Amino acid sequence: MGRKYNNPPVVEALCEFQFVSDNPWDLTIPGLIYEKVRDEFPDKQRQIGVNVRLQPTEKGLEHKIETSPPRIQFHKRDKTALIQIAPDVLVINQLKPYPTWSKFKEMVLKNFKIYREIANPKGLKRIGLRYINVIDLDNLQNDLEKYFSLHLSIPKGLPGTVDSILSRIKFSYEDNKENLMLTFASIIPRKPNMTSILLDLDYALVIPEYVKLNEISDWLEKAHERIESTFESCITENTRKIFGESKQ
Amino acid sequence: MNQNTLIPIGSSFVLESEFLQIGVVDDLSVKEVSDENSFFLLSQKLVEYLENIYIFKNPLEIKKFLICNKDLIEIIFSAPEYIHKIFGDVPIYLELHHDPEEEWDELFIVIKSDYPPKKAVELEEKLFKDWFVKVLNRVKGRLNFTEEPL
Repeated sequence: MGRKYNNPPVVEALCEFQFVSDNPWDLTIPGLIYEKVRDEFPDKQRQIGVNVRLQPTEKGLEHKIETSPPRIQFHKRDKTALIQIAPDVLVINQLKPYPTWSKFKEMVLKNFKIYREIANPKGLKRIGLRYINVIDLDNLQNDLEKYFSLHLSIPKGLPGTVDSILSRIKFSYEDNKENLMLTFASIIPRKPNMTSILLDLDYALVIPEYVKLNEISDWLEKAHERIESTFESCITENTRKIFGESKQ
Repeated sequence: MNQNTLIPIGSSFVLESEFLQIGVVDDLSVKEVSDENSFFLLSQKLVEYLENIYIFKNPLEIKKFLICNKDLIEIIFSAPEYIHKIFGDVPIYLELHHDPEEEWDELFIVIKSDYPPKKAVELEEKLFKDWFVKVLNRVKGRLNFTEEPL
């Protein structure tokens, strides 16, 4: 079992399923799912979709930005969790406060079962378990290595000051059938005079139908273990102090 | 070519061609904005992406303002379609105005055009009727637009 924190940095945990289907997307599926989840997720919303198209013109390729058909979201009344439905896609998101892995996993499996019963997918194209952590620091000039064992080496003598950072590393597992994408970046800070650092860990199955629909529970357990161990490897004892490690 | 493809605005022609050929564009940019599944990160990425559409006068302040006023993001995304239809292919800016006495921030879409003043006012009125009036009750004094000469 992993470490527990009083102020965990996780701002969102989510599980995404992309399905393989034999049939074209049935537009009644979101409505049928809503009937099953409305007691727990009563608030319907649509999420903005942004489509960017390239159009050849006399001047060359031009961008055309349009809003695309939104995906459907069902939110809990207190806005701490939501389900997102798009054609052959199901996403279950847990926002703050993050409960425990066992509770989040239970919510994922419950809604996965509902989706399966209604949409009857043939298989799984992709599964992703993702933890988005945000750590607020005084400013970016602080020694990042004080807080992260994963850090960037910035050559001395470069002009200017560091304004933002972005580092992305992909680790492969299971003979490249699965991978973990680690994103370490500065993001738009939530508080004035602070730097917000993102530690985004996305463990995914990338080979379609490699995991069967009835093997999800075990796969999630493995994915969670790998994310947790990567997260712990990326931070230092100083960061654990910020999170307030619980000894219980 | 994929219809839903993105190339970074202002980037090198050579790199754009490379991106298109090897399909990196689909893997990175489009996925990062259109298919973002994270509720938290979507607004961050949309705000960052807006810099491809608007010229930010005071970028950091604007980004922080939008993160605190997430409901405005969709409205700001939808605006250029109306602006370009009415004013043509003109540059558009975002400017954050701060009123220290009222402790109030207001974001302005500034449309730069070379129309004569009378025509510019006429077009502003048309934009108000065609677009702004539809979002007026959602912006609640936090967003406005104006036209300025180039």
